[in-house]
Amino acid sequence: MSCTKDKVQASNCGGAEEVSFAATIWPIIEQKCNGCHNSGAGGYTFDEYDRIENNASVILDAMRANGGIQLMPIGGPALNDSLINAFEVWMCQGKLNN
Amino acid sequence: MRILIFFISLSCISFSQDEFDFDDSFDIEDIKTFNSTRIISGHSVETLPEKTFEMRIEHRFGDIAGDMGGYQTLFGFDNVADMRIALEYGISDKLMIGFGRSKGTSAPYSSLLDGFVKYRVMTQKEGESPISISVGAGSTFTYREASTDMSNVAFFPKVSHRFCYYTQLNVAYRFRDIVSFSLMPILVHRNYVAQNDLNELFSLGAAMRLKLSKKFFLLMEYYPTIHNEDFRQENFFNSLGVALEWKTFGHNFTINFTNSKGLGETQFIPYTYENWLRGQFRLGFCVSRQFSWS
Repeated sequence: MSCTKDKVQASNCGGAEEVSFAATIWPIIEQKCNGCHNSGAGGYTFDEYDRIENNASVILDAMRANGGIQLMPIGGPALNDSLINAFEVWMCQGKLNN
Repeated sequence: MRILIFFISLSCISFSQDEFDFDDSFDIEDIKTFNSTRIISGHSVETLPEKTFEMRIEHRFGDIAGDMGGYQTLFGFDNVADMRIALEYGISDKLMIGFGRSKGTSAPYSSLLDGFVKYRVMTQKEGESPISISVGAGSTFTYREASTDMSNVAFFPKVSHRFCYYTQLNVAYRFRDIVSFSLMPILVHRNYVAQNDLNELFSLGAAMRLKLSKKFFLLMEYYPTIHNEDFRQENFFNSLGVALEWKTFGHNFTINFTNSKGLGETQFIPYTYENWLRGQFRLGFCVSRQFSWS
């Protein structure tokens, strides 16, 4: 055990092109998540940008079943790597509402 | 057959416990400032009696109202915000330790182990001390798989980033056995935080216990964080809870309503995202049972 005072570091997101929320992220959420999460399933509703932005880390972890979180979409299969990567890059770029 | 005999024996033991009238023992108990070692989410000034174990089960459901609550989730019953199971022990009448495991809220921590030590410095007694004081310190460690998202606090580049600490002073005053007050300044240190967050966060907790009857008490607890950081003011809320406590001999039941999802000082003080005014409060409960080997 030790005491540190570290903070999350910014990154260049691997130099990827800007990911559009409207053209890329919203369709993923709408098609892959909102079959259930349009009405509070599991405590999460993703019907608008703010809620997706606020829960982006949990969404990403659920897409990868990371950190002990249930894999989503529930029952699998997991999303294609390209979709998950797009979501991760969008987060890395500051979760733009573009 | 052996299994059947085992379960029949177990049910007989349970039955014999139920038959005992614990309420007769009430009058011989000392008057306490708070009935339990916790108030709602945080520590009280109390410690466990010497050589006494306590088993605690704490639970928080989902939002009762607001966007995530309502009848679709049976007012939060469908969702488990957090739960903690813990074993605590009184080394002496003044010194206690405890270990627990929490599910965590996933925002940002889950799979949390915690440990703490608490020491009773002073006990309110007529002619001796006008107040009660205790000091405590604890730590949590999350063993959740690190997030792959670099912008997430759960990215954990180093193992030390999984640790958080707190230290607390607890000063309490009891007016007869009717009402008790407590001031609980606490410093929470997190080794790894968001870019605009504070590694060290101070909160001046306050609480009250009001006796409603011989067995029922009303509890209130508030932990305002004190800082000038815009990031925290825009994204977080102070933990506020109200509870009904039911005291029985050896058991303690608390039914509470709080905006905090997380259990443990390193969660509910720095990571309360929920606002009472938006209906983001939840039902919770705590069941604790004291026992000893002898």
